[in-house]
Amino acid sequence: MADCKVGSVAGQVLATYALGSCIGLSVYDPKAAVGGLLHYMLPDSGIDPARSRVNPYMFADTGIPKLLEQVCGQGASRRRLVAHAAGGASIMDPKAIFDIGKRNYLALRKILWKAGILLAGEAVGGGDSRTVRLEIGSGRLWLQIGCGQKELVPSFPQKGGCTWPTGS
Amino acid sequence: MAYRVLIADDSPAMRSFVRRVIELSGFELSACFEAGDGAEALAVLNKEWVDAILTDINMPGVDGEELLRRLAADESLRGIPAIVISTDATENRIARLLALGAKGYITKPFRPETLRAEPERTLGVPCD
Amino acid sequence: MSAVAEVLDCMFFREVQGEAAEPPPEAETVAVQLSFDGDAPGHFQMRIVRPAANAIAADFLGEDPESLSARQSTEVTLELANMICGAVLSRIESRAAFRLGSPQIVADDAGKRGSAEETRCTVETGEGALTVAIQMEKRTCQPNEKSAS
Repeated sequence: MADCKVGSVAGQVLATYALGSCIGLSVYDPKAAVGGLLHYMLPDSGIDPARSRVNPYMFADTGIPKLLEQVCGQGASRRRLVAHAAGGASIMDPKAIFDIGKRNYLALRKILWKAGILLAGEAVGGGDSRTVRLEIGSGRLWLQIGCGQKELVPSFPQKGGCTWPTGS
Repeated sequence: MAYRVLIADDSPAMRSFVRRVIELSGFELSACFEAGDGAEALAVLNKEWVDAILTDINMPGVDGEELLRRLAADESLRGIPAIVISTDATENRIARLLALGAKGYITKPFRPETLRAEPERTLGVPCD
Repeated sequence: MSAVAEVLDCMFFREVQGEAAEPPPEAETVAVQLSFDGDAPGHFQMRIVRPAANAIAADFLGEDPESLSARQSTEVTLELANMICGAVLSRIESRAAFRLGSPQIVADDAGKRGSAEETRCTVETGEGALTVAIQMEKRTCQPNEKSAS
């Protein structure tokens, strides 16, 4: 919880566990083969600035910029980053009275939009806890919910860029 | 490959938003033209070639629906794929615009990821 | 309120924090009006306190509020009104055809209510209140319509 891991060694697996209302944000640059995984708990550091100075990863508004700074510091390009999000559930708040999960998710979308990054995929909401694993080198991403695990992102293909058809 | 797109919307703010989504989606753009209404869009198309058009419907003067009609009527323009972005989500309107040749329809409000996915969904083109 | 919440969530990345009281007349606000016609013509107004308008505009454009010009803030506010009106009309009359006019900044008529057929609500955006009001005109019978009896 309230943690950030960055990797640039092929075969290294970054993992974050027990994503309830927290958000796990995975970013990966397939060309530089550098990735990072952030696990944050709350949307806004304004509620406890002192805490955010001790652990910026606890909050979306301080943790996400730090994550991006660190992956780019290891050679990733922000424009090439592929981002996925998991979590934002209502675990101990089934009626979503406090809605921390949803607020965390909205904070994520706002901060990523400002940072110029669109989500490539997400597994958010609901009532289950999640675990995410990111493999450096292949860029593979696994999601575990309960006892089941599935591969969210297979190894990156070698082709790059987006294609859009021209008029005939 | 680098693409040339035209964004038609009477809201400068919405044109900025759409442009930003396209740029962030990984499409390489060699040109991004903007138009405040259908007449301006046609003026751009009279001078420039584009690979795709993203157009609003409710615009003053020549609106998006009339723009689609004129594109369909012009042999040199009718092959350009057009995606409609509009607040109007009524079934009749959507059906009419698709019949006029729109390749896709996005209802405002929309998430940025929805716009990025539209070329893949409507045009069968994968986006990494 | 759900239309307002949907618009703010999708493109402005913020959550409506419940219903709120309308700001007092002396609050610095921006007022927008637009008309719509079609199967169910009418008018739509939006009133938002300026700090909320600036913060929402910054979120929409992905910029810091301090770097936004007044013109950018106004342009986004007009588009916000356009989208909320469209979302409200789609919920009221999903099969009806309507056409929105261009939104315009108008003098703030704080507290001035429209006709009895007005639907109005105020929500808290996080930086202040946003009020929307919609009036649908009643269609009168055409002279050549036959009476039911």
